[in-house]
Amino acid sequence: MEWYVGMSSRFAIVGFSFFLLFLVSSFYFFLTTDREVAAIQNQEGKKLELIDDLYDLDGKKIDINTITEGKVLLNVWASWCITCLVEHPFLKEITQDKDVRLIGISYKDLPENAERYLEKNGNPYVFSISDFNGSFSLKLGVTGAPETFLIIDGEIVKHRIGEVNLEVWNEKFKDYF
Amino acid sequence: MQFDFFGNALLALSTLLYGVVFSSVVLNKNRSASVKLMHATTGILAICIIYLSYQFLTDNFQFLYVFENSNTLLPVFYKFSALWSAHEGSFLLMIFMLALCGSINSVIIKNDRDLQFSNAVLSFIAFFYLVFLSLTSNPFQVFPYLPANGVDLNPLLQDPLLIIHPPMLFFGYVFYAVVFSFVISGIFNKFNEGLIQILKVWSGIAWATLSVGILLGSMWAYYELGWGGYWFWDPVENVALLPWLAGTAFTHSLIFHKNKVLMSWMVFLGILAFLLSVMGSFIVRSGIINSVHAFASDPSRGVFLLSLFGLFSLASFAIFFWKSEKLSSAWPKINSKSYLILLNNIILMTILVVVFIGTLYPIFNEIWYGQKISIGPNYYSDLITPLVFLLILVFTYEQFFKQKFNYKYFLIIILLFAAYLVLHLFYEISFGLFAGYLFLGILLMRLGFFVYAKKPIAAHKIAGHLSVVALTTAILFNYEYSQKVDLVLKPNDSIQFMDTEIEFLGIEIVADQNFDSVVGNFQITSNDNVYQLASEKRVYKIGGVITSETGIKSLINRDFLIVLGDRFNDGSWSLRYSIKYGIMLIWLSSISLILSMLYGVVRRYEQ
Repeated sequence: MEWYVGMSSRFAIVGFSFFLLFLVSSFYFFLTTDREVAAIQNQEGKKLELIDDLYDLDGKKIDINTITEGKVLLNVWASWCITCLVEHPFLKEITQDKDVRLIGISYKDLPENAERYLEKNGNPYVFSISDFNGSFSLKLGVTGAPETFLIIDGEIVKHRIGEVNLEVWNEKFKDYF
Repeated sequence: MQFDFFGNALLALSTLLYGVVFSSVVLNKNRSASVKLMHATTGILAICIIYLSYQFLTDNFQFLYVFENSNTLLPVFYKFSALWSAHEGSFLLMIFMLALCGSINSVIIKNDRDLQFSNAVLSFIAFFYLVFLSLTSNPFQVFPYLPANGVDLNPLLQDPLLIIHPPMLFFGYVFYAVVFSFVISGIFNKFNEGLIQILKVWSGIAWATLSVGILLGSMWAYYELGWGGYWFWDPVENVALLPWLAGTAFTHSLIFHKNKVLMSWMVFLGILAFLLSVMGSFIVRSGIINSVHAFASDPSRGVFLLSLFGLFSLASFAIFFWKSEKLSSAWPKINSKSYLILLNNIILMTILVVVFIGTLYPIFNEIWYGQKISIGPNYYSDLITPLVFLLILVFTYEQFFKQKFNYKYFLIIILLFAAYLVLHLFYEISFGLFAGYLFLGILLMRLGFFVYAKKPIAAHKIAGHLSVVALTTAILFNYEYSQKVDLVLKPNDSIQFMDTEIEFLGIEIVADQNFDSVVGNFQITSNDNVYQLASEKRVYKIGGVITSETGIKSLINRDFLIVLGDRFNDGSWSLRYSIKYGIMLIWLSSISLILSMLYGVVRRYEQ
């Protein structure tokens, strides 16, 4: 077969048509398969899933047992989160008045911003887990900040999505402390 | 659910007539009568639109479409615009526009052969769109009984900008369909001088309309949605950008006709712009991508539109394939004007591919790996910024490419580099902004030189390219200097941020015809100038939807924005306060870009 003018464009057209076929069939496949949409879920009753390497804001490695043993309150917070700032005084209050072991999860936040936030507003946490990319929080079932988990011996007993205040505390957490 | 007889009869009749027009051209019978049929169909579709508008204005909630998108409390103005506020009505309006373009062509265009082919293509498209409309998104569905009141027009759409934004976008799509119809005509017949002129005018109109649509959308996101910016690389924004990019490349590629090079590439771009606009309709209206814009997602609708996309692609590429040997695909000479346009096209296509991948990759990722991901703005800005500068470099060079290169240029380049170092070290000007100012200066000087030497100039071209550089510079200006802060503030408190002081004057409750609102009043003091701002949260009476109205004070070089957040128990409010630079400059340069194109079209049309 001889090479004639317009041959190269014919090859290009055929190639592009295959691409279009691929595009259309992918769309078709996507449209006709049922996909489950996960609703925001309360994680109560689930086992706490941890990832191996957890570090605090200073970069020190965290001993996993400090989270899985006994009664621990995990609080997801971030320096960019306004509602976290609102619940912050209440968190300080409960850690002062009651025997609450409060561990923070610094959610999608730069360590230096998180440190500055704690310096300015006070630090109610025993320590804060640095979760810059949110992978730990993802395993935990976090949908955003703030969220609070009550963990007893590695099991999620209570899960609050949103601000914790006196009302929520009395309703959800008071009986355990 | 029943169907309204009158409306559906009109739809069916117009579908039939388009079938007749198409077959009469293809079978080469009664061609002259087909032009009259085009006009008749346009008339029938106009009656359809008036009929549906009448139902809106008289609050006839027996019509499902009226019931879903209007109610008795809605101001009359919005009752009228509600016609195109949802999928069915907007699609009907789009088909009407397609019909109107066919009629306009039939009056204006002298070359009968081109007109016939274009009409055939337009009626082919309109035929399938009408079948789609009647079967899966019928606007004339009626209840067997009369509901007391309608649901409401989506509150986000109750905004003057929003009334013209969507129709502008799909009118742009329609005009690219018209461009496409003439490209197909050119494949069959010949790309003669007359046809190229028609293509230049239509592609200019299509480009300008689509640009207005995109610009209005951007303004709407900024002023109404309160997203605090003008462009978000949201999938649906991107989907409108794709045909725009292809269309920009196509408009430039029309110059290839002059030297008879790469005609097949030009044809490809013409087809691509149209197919991308059809794909845009598919993506937006099938709800395949989650976005603020997503219409109600109905799988059957999506599958139908996808089939149409497949059909149009198949038909156009089959024609292209069989006729491609007639089209020249020789390469332009190195360092000729065509060569630079080719470079421009390659860069624009690269941007298109970047946007395309960023928009559709999440879908493929979900199909292949079952993971939901979203692609952030950094992906786009990191990849596209250098490409845009390359593009600016190419068209600035185009102004000078006939000149001989000598040692003076070396000297100038060294001087410029020194100037950059000085500005960077002492005034912290970034390379991007420096380059923006530099190209702006070069093009302005070039324009000044032409005016001074009284040379004949294509003013619209220089003005258009100048606007692109100004737009790029304004975007960089905005990116580099804008600041924002989240605050918690009590009424009567004030706080310092940057060189401004913001004071929270107080909260008032206001009731309007169809919503109640909480208005926060603020005062911003900057360099002894005092500006008043009101930021609102609205609760719509029907449906209880809450929307935020951002308080914005626009100055020529910067804007102040306040978004009112939630109220806390102690009476304080959360706020987001931002200072955005260059927003006004972005709007102005975009408007001047569009005006340049329109001026070019008018000049071309006069010739």
